[in-house]
Amino acid sequence: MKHPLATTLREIADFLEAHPDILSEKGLNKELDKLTVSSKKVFDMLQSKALGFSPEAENVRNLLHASDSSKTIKDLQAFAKSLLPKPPSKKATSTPSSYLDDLVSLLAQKGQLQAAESFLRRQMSGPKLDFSKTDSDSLLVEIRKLGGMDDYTYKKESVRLLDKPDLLIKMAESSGLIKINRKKDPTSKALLTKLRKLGETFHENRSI
Amino acid sequence: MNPKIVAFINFKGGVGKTSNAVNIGACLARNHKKKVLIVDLDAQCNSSFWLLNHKQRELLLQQPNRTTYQIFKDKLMGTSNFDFEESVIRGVPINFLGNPQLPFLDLLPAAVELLEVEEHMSKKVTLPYFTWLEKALKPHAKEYDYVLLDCPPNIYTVSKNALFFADTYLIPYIPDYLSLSGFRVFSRLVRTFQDEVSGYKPALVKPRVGGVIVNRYQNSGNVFSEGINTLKLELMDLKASKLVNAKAIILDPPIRSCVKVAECSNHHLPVIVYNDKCNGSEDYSALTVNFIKHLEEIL
Repeated sequence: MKHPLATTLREIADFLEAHPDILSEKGLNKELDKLTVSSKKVFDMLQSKALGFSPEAENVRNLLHASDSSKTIKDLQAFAKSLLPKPPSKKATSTPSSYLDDLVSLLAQKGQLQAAESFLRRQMSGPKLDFSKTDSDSLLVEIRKLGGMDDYTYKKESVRLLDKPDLLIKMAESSGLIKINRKKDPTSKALLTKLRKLGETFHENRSI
Repeated sequence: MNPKIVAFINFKGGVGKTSNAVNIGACLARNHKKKVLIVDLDAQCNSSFWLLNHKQRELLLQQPNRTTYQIFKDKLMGTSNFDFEESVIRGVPINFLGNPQLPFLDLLPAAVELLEVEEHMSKKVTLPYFTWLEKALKPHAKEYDYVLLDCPPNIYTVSKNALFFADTYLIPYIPDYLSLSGFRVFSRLVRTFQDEVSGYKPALVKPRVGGVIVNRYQNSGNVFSEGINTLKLELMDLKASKLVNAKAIILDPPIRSCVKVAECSNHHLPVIVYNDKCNGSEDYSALTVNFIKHLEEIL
């Protein structure tokens, strides 16, 4: 069955072929430019679907796949929000893998591939909390890392940290600066905010 | 004896260099029966004034040739008038009867004329100028367990001599942000100096900043705890960059702010002699135990 738009497109094509001189008319000229641009976008999209991702898109796809941001659709949506006004819509059949492809397509469409690549590289080489050592000196280093994180990394790392309330309290104790009222049982989130603030001071004062 | 030569150095003034040298020296001599020599290298003569009474100081003013100044003057003038036996003051401080209060603690005093050394140095640089102190004192250091060098607040000629001579450098420190930035600059300067002169003494290849002593610590408010935490992090970074010794630590305990420590210098006594029960005496006694232990580990 023919798409309803097909007839309209056919008519426009026939008209333009029959009246090439119409291109010189000022008002039409502008509209035709718009039509050309949008046709090209559609054409590019069709081509990329047919040929698979461009090397740039493939690169971003691989980086995203290797990063922690691609574990769940929620992670991918959070990542998308840092680069796009709206993440791709989630379908009922979406899996993390199919959603990742949709996201990369959308990034390509919006011309955000380069930004995504540098964001991912920065994120991968950026600070990541290490919970393997829990002596007070090592925990101070982790507090400082917390203070040096950008908002996106902090949000991601805070999820990991909030899963370990005991460690959070140990970090606060290691600083000797944050008073913990165990009776009142401070919320982990409040503690984390205080730790980040303290970490910011440590981070600002670091030299090397 | 195999003496341990320790420089108390920081190019920031008022951080406790003299206080640490005098009071740790006194604890080593009294509590641990160690033979200690304090070498005053600061033209302000603070450790000399701290440990000598009025009469001794008057005498010293007339005899700058019996001070550390003479070591440098000899090299600059081509003379050899420095006589260690004549210059060293044994068993400081003395009581009103003239008897030594700490028989194991000796002092090689300073003279204000040390200031002239830098002036002369700019006119006449005789390389290697940084070996002068070691050459003059090494033969005499053997009779001591510890030689403590009280350095001036700069890294000019006299301090460089101390850096060359010492086995390790301890940094007196007040835990605030300004001291922190000074510490990192200082560590870099010291490392650069070590690199420059290691050809004369290969052992200087290894970073010699061995630890930090926190002074005038106050337990109120967060500023000091925060300062110590920042210092801990800084020390870890400096270790990673090989600017300080890999085993460098913040020596425990911090020396609490104590009025008796401030008072005791007026009475020309180390704090443990002036008031054995005050916070300052407690802290210095505990610190000295860790000082001995730490030096055993790093040297």
